[in-house]
Amino acid sequence: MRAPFFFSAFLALVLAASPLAARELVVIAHRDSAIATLSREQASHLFLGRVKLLPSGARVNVVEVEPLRELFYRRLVGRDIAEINAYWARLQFSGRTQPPLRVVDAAAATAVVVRDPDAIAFIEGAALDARTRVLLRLEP
Amino acid sequence: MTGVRSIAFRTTARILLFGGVVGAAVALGSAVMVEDRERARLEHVLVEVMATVERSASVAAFARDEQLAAEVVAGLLQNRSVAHAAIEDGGEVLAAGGRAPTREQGVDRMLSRALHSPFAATEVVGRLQVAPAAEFIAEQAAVYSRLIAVQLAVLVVCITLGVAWLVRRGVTLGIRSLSNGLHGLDVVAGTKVEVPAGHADDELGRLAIDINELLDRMDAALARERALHGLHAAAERKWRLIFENAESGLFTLDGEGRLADWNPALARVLGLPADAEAGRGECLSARLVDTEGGIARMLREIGDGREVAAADFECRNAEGEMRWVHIVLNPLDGAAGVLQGIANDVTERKRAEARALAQAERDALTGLLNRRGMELAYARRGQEYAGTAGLGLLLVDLDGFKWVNDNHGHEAGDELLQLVARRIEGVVRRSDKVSRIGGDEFVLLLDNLKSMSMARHIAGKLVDVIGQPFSVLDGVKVRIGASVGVVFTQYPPAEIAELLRRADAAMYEAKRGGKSQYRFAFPV
Repeated sequence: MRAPFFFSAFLALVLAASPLAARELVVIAHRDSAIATLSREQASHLFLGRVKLLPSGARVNVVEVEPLRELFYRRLVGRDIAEINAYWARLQFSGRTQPPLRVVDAAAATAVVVRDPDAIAFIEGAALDARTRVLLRLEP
Repeated sequence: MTGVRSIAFRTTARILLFGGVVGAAVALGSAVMVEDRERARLEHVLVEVMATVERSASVAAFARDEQLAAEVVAGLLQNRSVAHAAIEDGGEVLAAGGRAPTREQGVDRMLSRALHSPFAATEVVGRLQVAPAAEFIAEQAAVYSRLIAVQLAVLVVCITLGVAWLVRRGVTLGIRSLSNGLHGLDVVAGTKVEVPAGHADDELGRLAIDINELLDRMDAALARERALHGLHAAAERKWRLIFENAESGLFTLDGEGRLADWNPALARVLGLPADAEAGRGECLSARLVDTEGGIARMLREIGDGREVAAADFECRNAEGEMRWVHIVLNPLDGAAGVLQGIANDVTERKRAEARALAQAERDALTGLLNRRGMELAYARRGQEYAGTAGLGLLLVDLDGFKWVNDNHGHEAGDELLQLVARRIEGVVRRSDKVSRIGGDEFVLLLDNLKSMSMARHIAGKLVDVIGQPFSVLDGVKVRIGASVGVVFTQYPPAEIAELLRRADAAMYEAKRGGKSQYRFAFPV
């Protein structure tokens, strides 16, 4: 328990120091998505499983980019990744709420969003492409 | 000492009663208090339990995860103090379990806690509600309070019994032992109180020691008293012995002169009964020849403040003889009106005095009165005699006595005078007084003479008997004569000197007339 905590703290420092920390993160959806924009609160409710359905009534599919999780949740809710992980661990214990789909990079996330109109994801702003729509920008 | 009345029993009973009452009160009071506190504690525990599940409940509410909410509720219901638990998300119940409380059972008793979002502290995402199991809590509290009450009661009973035991052992048994010791104490035998065992150094021990010291002091005082009593008795015996064996009569009188107490010597001399009780109250004067009120006079003198009054009295002793006693009276110090007296037998002294007195009036040679005796007899006769009869005085002068004295010596003269005296006494009457007033001069007082003839007769006989021859010095015959001068006096009597002068003159006339004859003088 302690080792991963130190590890992640170390990682956070490394990332903060890296150019990654300075980058903009964006929440994206399918270009044709019914959602135009998201508030930070709406975004947090969607990514943390409180809101499971889209306004259309379809079930939302949430995608996380593994390397960006830490930065994303810090910017969105101001929490350590460890807290986020612990939160999901509690919900996974019950087995009813499923954590988001996790992908390795922005390209993979974009691919999911492009393929699924009910999906939302977060990527670096630099990796944006035209097939997606930016719902929320999280500046450093 | 019966058990019911013993201090130990009473003290123990009172301590037990006090302990019981106090213990019961404390137990009751503590039960109420403990029950309240226990109820509060159990409810506080509930709040804490809610706090421990709050995070999970928050997550469940945030994620609207009924499954997790149900888990949390089930966990809460594991606690028997929880009657009902529910997690709500807005107005929607995510999970609920247990008996939901009815409205009147106390919605107000329901514990409610807002659930905040795990990610935004200000965002309320639901409520956690818990209803305490009131009956269970009450039961638990009651059980606990009963336990405490029982513990307290046991404690109080133990302390009370302990105190009672200690008081009994430490105080009342000691007091009882002391009390029993005192009860069975024999002061005369000199026994002592025992110090109660184990109390040598405390107040009970001191009390025992003090009692013993008091007993010692009482003993000593008693011994002193006995010794004093013995001394007093010895002194009393001594004085009694002196009183009983005194040669003087000792007595006490009351103010009226009645005998109160006397010793055997007084009883002997006054002829009183030896037992003072028998003769008590008899007047002293009644036992004496006290015709002139001598005792009454002495009592008056003492009454007037004189220290001593004394007088001589004649009395009849136990053998019936007449005796003389000298009685001295003093007031008795410290007893008003009581007198003490001494009576000494002075009979011998009185007789000696009387003898001496008689001697002074007698002629040693002839045993007749001397001149002084004759004069006194004449004076007495003047006081005593109040009749009308006369008195004859005869002056006898011997004729030829000088010749006898000169020729036969003084012894013959003295013997002759004695013989003459006897012959004169043989002639006169018993009541007549015969005296020798000079060498060979005799004076006769013939009292109570009815007439001169008796004087004449006696004078004649005198001349006759003295004229008879005398035999002196064993056979020497001598012859003398008597010249007699007679004078007669009527009452009231004349001076003796005058009578003697006239008688003398008559006697010389007889001598001149030839001796051995009598002549009458002119009566006075």
